[in-house]
Amino acid sequence: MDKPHKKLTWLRIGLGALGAALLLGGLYNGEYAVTLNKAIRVCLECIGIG
Amino acid sequence: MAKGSGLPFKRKCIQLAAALIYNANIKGFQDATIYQGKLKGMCVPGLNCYSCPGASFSCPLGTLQNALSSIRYRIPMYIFGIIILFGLLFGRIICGFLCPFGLLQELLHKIPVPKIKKSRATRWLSCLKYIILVVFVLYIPLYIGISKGMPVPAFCKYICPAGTLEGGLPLVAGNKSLQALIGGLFSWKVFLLILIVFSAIVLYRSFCRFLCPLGAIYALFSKISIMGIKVDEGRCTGCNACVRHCKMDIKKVGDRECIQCGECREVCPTDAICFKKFKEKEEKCNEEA
Amino acid sequence: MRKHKNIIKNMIVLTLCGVMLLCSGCGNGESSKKSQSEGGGNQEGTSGLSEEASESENEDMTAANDRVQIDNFEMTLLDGTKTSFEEYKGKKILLNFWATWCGPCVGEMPAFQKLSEEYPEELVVLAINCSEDKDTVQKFIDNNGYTFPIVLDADGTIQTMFGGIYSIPVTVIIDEEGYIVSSHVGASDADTMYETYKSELSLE
Repeated sequence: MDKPHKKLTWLRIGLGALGAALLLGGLYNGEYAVTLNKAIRVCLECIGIG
Repeated sequence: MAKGSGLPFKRKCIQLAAALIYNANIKGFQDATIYQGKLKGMCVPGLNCYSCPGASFSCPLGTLQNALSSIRYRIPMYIFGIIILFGLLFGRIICGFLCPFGLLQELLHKIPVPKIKKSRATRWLSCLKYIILVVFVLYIPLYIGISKGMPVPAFCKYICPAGTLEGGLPLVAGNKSLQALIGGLFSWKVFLLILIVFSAIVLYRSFCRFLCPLGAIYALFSKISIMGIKVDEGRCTGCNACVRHCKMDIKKVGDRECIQCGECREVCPTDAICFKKFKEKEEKCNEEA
Repeated sequence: MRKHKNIIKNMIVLTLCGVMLLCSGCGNGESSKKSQSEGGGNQEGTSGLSEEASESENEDMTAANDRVQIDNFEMTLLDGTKTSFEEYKGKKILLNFWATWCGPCVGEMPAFQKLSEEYPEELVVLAINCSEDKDTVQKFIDNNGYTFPIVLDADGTIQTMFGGIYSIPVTVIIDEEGYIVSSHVGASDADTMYETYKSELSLE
């Protein structure tokens, strides 16, 4: 029962590292400001207006 | 004993708290404006339109589609990182505990009319959300973004009922200049919203099961998410009371269709179902702690 | 152990509540006037959509009778040139607020190109980009080959000046003396908008 468990742990660690790397990379790239700029403006398309 | 643990009530409290936190900008509803503070660079884990007057944060699906449609200008990393971390840490616990639209559907389902029970047909239909994910959230924004340079958040634009309910209706109701701009698209989205609302009354969490691409994304993490529900194989007798009681289209507790709500714990005769702890080595469900 | 989980969850929830209340308190209290004096860097204004000229509450505009005249303001163009609004007076001005991620904005731009090519003497199109970085805007313009002036408004100063643009596209039509004639929120396809703007600007 331990081998698949170890695999699972490694997969989680790997995925967690990937997620963290992408998050930090995106922040470094200025994506927080990009997300912010879109979110503070009404997306007319999202609310159903041309 | 799992029965009488009060989990369903606690879960509703958490769902309500999440909905209120995501939409703490009450002033927005009064003025029919949206929040413009710096918090909106962060995404909440559940479905909550950032064009909602009350929204204090950003929507992960909206952010994802926007990022993909702007791929010519910037390779998206931030939103992918966020979604991976949410999925890895919480998986579909987000669906069960942290999504306002999920809460809404559960409340709608409480309306006392005859219900449509799950079946092989609904199980089959639950695949539709993966198709919607691929076509509307991934393919269309990418394809039109790359080939035409036109940003099209296709799920937000054509389908998302949360956007219509939380963003479209309050903003249009409060803004004369917006009312003048209403066209066919708005009518379609309102029609779809009404359809989804009525279906949620007779079909438990119909949007979640059949349409939600965010649920589809988190479902992919079901086997590896750190938090979630699990079955103690040592105590399980295979009676399947959990699967029969569950209103989602699961085959086993904790599979991709499971929203990790824990309502199955109420009916398990051997208390074999519990929530995972951080120390994953233990396969048992320890009642004493 | 299950209790521990619950407590942690509750603590997180309460902490977030506290953070939220704090931030909401700060964010919504400020008026657009205050954020203007901060250089418009913080888009904390919750002012309404840019509506008809007579209803605007813009600090930098002087009202004459019912019409609102636009005072001068500094602009930085995409190629780095610094200019000001006054330089364009004497022609009709079509002032458009846009962003590369906004579908309707991008969709109506061919109309602007056509108008600016057909009426170079009477009209100038000023496309003010909303708070995006220079590289993104440059790539967009290179991809599409638009020739009308693109203004960068990274810190949102110009947007705040017009009442806080928070729903785009917004197109403001201004006459030769700098008075606002009308403003539009949203856009349909380029052909329809071309006709609309053409008639609003009273061009042949």
